[in-house]
Amino acid sequence: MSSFTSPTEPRSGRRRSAARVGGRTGRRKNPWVTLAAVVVMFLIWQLGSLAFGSPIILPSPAETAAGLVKLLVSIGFWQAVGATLFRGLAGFLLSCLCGTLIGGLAGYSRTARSFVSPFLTVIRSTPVMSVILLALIWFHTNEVPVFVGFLMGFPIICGNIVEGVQAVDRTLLEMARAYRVPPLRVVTGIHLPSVFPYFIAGVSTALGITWKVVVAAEVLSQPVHAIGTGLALAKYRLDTAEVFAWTVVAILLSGASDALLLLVDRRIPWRNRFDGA
Amino acid sequence: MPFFSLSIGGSPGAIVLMEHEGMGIEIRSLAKSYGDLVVFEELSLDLEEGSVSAILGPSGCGKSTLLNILSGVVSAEVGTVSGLSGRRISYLFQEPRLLPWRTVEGNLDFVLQDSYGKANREEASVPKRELTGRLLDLVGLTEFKGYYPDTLSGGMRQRVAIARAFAFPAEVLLMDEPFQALDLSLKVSLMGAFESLWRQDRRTVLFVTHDVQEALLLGDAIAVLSARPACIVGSLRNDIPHGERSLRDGRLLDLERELYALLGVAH
Repeated sequence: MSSFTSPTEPRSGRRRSAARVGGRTGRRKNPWVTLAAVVVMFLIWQLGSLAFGSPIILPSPAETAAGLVKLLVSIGFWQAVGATLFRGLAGFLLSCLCGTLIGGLAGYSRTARSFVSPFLTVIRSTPVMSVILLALIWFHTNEVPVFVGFLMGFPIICGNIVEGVQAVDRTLLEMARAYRVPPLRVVTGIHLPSVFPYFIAGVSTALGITWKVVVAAEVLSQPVHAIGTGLALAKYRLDTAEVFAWTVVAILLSGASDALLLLVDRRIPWRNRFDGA
Repeated sequence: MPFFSLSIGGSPGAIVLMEHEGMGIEIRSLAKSYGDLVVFEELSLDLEEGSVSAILGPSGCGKSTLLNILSGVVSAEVGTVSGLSGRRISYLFQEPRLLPWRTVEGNLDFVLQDSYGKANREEASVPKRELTGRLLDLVGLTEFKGYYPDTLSGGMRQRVAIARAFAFPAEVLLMDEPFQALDLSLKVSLMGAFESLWRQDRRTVLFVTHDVQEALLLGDAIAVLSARPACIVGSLRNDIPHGERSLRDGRLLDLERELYALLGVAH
């Protein structure tokens, strides 16, 4: 069932120790190499802006920083960030809820799986821009980004839950039955812990995509308070430094949510021991 | 009086293993097939209470199906099993089958929780902890009770499974080649772990294996199963006390020769 082959691999999973260990080496990265990469990144940026010689085409890091400071002290900024944060979370939570419910159903029932599969295939293949444009026709400006975020996150989480449910170890279920473990404890003791890493992997991919599509939808739907609206307006004013500044804000938002998720991920006890030492 | 006597069963060629004591588990005229594949047609067997009955037979002869029928996972088409109803069964599989997200102690707890009730957690946890502590001590894993299965070796994981089987309050223990897929020294030490637990808690054990030495070392009665459709081609009794069994013992070697004869292997 190819439509369920999700692009995201769980960071863990019993049979995927390579993926798991690989995904969790973040801490062991050499900090100096990371630092060097960041320095080179800024160097390229700086040299590029010098080469173009025009802040309208490519503002320098310093000009972007100035734009960012200007944004931070402006009145509408925090409202915009708050509103985007709210829309992103709303869309994301909706996709989590629906993805988990429908994914769970599809994971346990072959019929449901066959039924849901074409829906996921169509949603996955629809260009984001088509979804945004249609949403503009169907919804109010404030709701457009929420809907787009939901629709883009849903198939990812749904597909991962289906995969997780199917990966539940049958030999463990047999063991539980032989020992007459009551059904509720089979669910909490075997099913949930098996699916959880798949859920977290889906959530982390979906969240990353959600921020991008929410901001994209905001650029077109232009709610009063939104990072996307800020981006669009800055672009109309040819204030490229501010476009960069808003972009930096969007990157930080995405990075912060990723860091938060990694914290949750690390709390999964049966995975902590791979952090070594 | 011999423990087992052989008599001809209902269908021609099927040999029924009879037992002269009243207790224990009686399996009578069991038939099971999957489609055209006849696993057994007329299988009868008695398991003596509080002893280890080993079933020796070639791979794929239906030994696991027999265990699954006894544990209720699979139902037989014809035949009866008496002496099992209402009794709890613990099960030792070929693989440890531990929950990877639970520690060694947590894995024992997973099958134990109901037996010690939840109503009075504090009170119940004391005897439960005593029991798991004692069992883990017997299989030599006391220091590892807080470890997750992935950090243990294969042999240690199977030790946990053995401790779990004995922790679960059952009178009957079914074992499906649990010492397989391990190297010889591990196998011997695991069988030792089983022995030390079983001698403290003499459950009625049905032990399925294709390894002659395993059957000789653990079985008090050994029945040899034929290839499909499986029937019992013969059986013998091993009277050597559990503590004295050694593969170099002359008495055991005699039994070994008998077993090889029943298996149709020149030795």
